[in-house]
Parts: sequence; structure tokens; C-alpha cells
Amino acid sequence: MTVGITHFLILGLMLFTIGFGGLALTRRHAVRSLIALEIMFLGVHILFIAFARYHSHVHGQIISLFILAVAAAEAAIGLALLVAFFRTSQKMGLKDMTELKE
Amino acid sequence: MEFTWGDALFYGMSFVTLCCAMGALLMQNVVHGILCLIGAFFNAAGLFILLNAEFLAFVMIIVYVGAVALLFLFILMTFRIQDNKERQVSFYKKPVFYGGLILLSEMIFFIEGYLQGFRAGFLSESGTGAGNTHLIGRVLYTHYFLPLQLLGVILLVAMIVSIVLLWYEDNRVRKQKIKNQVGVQAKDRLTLHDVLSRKGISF
Repeated sequence: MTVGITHFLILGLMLFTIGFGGLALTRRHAVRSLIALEIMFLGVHILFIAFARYHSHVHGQIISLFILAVAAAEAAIGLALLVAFFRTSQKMGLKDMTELKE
Repeated sequence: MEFTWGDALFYGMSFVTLCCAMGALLMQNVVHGILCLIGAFFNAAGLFILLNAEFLAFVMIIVYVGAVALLFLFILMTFRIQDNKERQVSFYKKPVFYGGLILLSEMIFFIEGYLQGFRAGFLSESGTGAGNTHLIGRVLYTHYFLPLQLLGVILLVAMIVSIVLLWYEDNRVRKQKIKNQVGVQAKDRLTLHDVLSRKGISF
């Protein structure tokens, strides 16, 4: 296999950048920023697992497992917050969350 | 520098992963975006198998596709603000059809690679005899035991927070309040009035 760690690192960084761009650019629908966060997490997963393979020990995979659990918790809380916000205001854009600014 | 099955699988799956990630952010319909996200997770799981991390690949599919992405879909269904114009399109024009076609061709590609002698992940002969899951378990429950417990606490807190945030009392529902029933006293229920003749009472 001529594909080395560099290819995986580039892939992970590209995914991270795509997710970051999506997080920075989407303002219309708050669920889409959570999706962008998940894509960033995916890039970080690939980086950790590629490093674990490169150094051929298992610690990177365990960190990746921890990231996965924390990401699941974050998604649950973020979606619960969104639903609570939608119930009170009937809107769900990030642009609409400006009550504390005013 | 020969081009092997591993390279072909890597380039194919990473290309589909990137396309799905772009699609998840650019699709007009958020539900389609989540379906793209599921595609990205599946392809990333394939990449993890290429990196000999098959336990994480399966956990990725179970947790992300089976729980997180499904949670996103359920939440979107509760919002009910998208216009659900159910257009009648031909089966071959549905994008889901092509997504399924891509996944199917990737699986055929994987199996073909296996038949041609390519081994990755748990299929590769590791000299130690201990699989990836075995190794992870051995380190996770000894060296990382305290972080594992803390992780359980984090998940518990997340669960409690979600329930508390979404809990609401519906006042339209009539239900028995036993505490009030038991704690009621005679003076709350019964009032005595002296009714004078030809006066009546008002209460």
C-alpha cells in the first residue's frame, strides 16, 4: 500500500476544514452547524486513528473512542437546546438567537 | 510504486467521504444533508478498517449512524417547519438511489479486493494473535479506567440535561394528584352557611 500517513492526515485536515467552513458560513439552520461540528469530529477521528496506526499503539484509538462518546453527549445536549429554543420562539436559525444581545 | 487495492480503496472511500461531507453542508434540504452525513460516516468506517481500527469502525457505524444521525433525523421531524412537498419522482431520479448504488459498488469493490488477496483490519494476520478489540479492552479497562468512569458520568449528565431541558407539564392533561387528595381537609371542601329566612345566601 503506497498510501501513507500523509494521505490520511491530508484527508482528516480536509474534512476538518470543510466542517469549519460550514460552521463559519451557515447561519440559517442551527441543525446544519451541528452537522458541521460532526464533520469536524470525523476529521479529528481520522487524524487520531492514523497516528495510532503510524505509531502502532492503541492509545490514539482510545482517545478517538472518548471523543466519540463526548461527541454523542454534545449532539444530544445541542439538539435538546435547539428543541427548547424552537418551543419558545418557533424559530431555529442561529441568527434568531439574539435575545441576550438586545 | 505499484497501485494496490489498498490505494484504490483509500482513494475511492476518501473521495466519497469528502463529497458526502460537502453535500451534508450544501444540500438545500437538511434531511438530505443528514443522509449525506450518514454516507460520510460509512465511508470513514471503511477508512478505519484500512487503518486496522475495526472496533472503532463498527462503533462508528453503531453510535454515529445508529444513534446520532438518527437523533438528528428525529429532531428534524419534530420541527415541522419544512414544506414537505411530496413530489412524485421516478425511482431512478431519487438521490437516495444513487447513494445506495455508490455504497453497493464500494462493498463489491471491497469484496473483490479481498478475493484478489488484499487484507486489512481484522483480516490481516497480526503476529500477536490479539485482535484490535482485545487490545483496546485491555488498555481501556486498566490504563484508562478513571477516564472511562468520568466518561460515564459525562454521558449521565448529558442524559439528565436533555431530559430536564425537554420536560414540560401539559396543563391540558387531567391527572390524579394523590398528594393533594390525601392532604385535603374538611374545611377546604365543606363550608357551613347560616341561611336566613327570605334572605338567601350568596357565595
